[in-house]
Amino acid sequence: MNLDELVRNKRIIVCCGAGGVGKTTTSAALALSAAKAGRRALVLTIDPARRLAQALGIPPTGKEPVRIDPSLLANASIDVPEGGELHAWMLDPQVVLESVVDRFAPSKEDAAKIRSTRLYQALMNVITGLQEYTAAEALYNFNESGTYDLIILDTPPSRNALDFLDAPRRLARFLDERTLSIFAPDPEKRAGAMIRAASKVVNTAISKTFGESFAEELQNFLGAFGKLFQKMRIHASGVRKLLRSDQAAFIVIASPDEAALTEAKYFKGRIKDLGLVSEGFILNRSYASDQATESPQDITASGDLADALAKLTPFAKLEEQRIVSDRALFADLEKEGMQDGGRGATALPLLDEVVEDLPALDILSGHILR
Amino acid sequence: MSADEALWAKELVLVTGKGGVGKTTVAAALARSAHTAGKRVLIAEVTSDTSTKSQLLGLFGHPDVKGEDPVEFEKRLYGVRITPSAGHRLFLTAALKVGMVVNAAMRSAALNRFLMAAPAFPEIGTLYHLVTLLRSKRFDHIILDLPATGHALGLASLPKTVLSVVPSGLIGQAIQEGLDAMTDDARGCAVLVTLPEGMPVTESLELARGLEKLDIRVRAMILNAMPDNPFTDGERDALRDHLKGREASLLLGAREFRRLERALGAQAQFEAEVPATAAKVTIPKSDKTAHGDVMREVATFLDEVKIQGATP
Repeated sequence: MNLDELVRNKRIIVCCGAGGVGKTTTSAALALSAAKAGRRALVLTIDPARRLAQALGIPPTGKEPVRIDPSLLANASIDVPEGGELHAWMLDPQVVLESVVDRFAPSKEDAAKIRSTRLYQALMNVITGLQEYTAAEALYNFNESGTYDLIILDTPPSRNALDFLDAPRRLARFLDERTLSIFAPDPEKRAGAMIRAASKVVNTAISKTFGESFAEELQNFLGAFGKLFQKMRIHASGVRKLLRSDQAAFIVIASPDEAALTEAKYFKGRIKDLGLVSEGFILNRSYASDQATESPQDITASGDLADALAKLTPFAKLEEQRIVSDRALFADLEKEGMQDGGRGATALPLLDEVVEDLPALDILSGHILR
Repeated sequence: MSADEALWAKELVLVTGKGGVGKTTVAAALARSAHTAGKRVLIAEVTSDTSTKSQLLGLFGHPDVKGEDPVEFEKRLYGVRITPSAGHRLFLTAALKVGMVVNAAMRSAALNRFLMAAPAFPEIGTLYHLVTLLRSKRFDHIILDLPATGHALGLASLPKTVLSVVPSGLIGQAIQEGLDAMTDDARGCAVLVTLPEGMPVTESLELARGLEKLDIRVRAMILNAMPDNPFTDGERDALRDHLKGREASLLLGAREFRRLERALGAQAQFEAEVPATAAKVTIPKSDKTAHGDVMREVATFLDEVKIQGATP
């Protein structure tokens, strides 16, 4: 898989993978690479690495994306050509939801009414359920705005990420009129005995399980959300179309361990199930491309260093074994990544330092751009 | 009077941490350890998708467990996948009482879509399923492997939110019970797992503070997979000096050494900053590669870990 080509040409890159594989840093490195290639790149991250945010000089929960100060890039000796820009946003689901309500509510009064319901306020707190909706929503809006040449989405870890891939579809289903009409106030107004009957069952179920007051509140809430839902539905299918187009690329990131690899292959399957194409795998933090030239016993030394080098021998053996096994893993991923219209895999090295500043990101970027 | 207790010695043990830190291994090992001690144990994971294999339950040889009822793996050892839809079915059954109506309701595509797509409803289902298992009193210990989420508190923060909207009724009552079990020091606790690296340690310390705010007692913090350090301080200094200014990848073993250095730094932070109310447990890195072997090794290690019980 040629990452250089992807960061130069795609409009959207979605990075998925299990937690702890380095999705956030890889996403940031991809965005930096695009900026270095002269594009306006935005990295949208949901699972922020705070120190990385600090290094980039962006607030952890801003209202909107922030452009990384060009002088920060210059200070880190990162050469960004004319037109190249790096933007980042730690996506805050609450901020996105509020802007959705503001934009789509028929009037200011309606927006206020929606916001004042207990249900809405609870919704704001259920971040686990919100991330997926908001990620899809934010992606669509930024793409529409035309402000960026490339948007890189760093998905939430593991299972949530799958929800993200499914979010547009789930949202569309949720917003399906037939579903909604059952909960909408005055179902009697609607034609059809089936709907009336279904509505009755659902209402009984809901009021019995949640209590009368909740059932009423839910109906008020959905009533107030009504028009808003209709407009959001357009977006849900818009997001699906966008993610299916050849402007978008899905990359699955794995690290060289059993669990992460199992997850990676699972992701690839899920992407396929959703009717999308996964571009390929990134084997992150691996020794696959290592070329060590020296062994500890090659070095002549005395004193503490001699003792240390002697004790380093098992470490060297371990590393040697890792190089062999990582290469085998990579070959396997490359093969798997070629299937179903994909383009194989790319290995990114384990850096000497923890990647949490611009110079380290730039080193990674050096492995992305050719 | 206080007595030494095992790490898992609560009715409900929430095992949590970021993805990739070995949370699943630790959850399985805790269950194994409790079972070895003669307890009736339920090992559970939270998922919304039972069509794929469970890594956790696969460690017990049952990766394909389905359904709302726990499956008996061995005498006194049970496993289950806690899912939203099982919870939905359970509360509809409790609410409507008539099986036929429940089946009709669950068959209603509209209701299913609503329950799975409306924010918070999947989580309500999950909690309800968990509470049903707690209510059954069939187990001495429920060890729950919480899903890795971007929002670290995830499921743990949900009961309070749900209760603000649904204070009464069948659901409200059940959620309140779940919350009581989680927040009662005598019944529930959280075990946090992290790795010996800078970011994971910092984040798990934040997670611990968040859980304490929710009144969930963090019983122990586990530093998982700590590598062995064969070097004296003098030897480490000498090696560090030797490597200064060189690209580590050129000397075989140097990168593993740097990894060890980072781990030692993270361990120091862990030792210094874990709150006094939580036990600190460092699990040495296993040299096994198969997941099952690692789990058994960790279980044997945890058998020996005792922490001081609460003083009544």
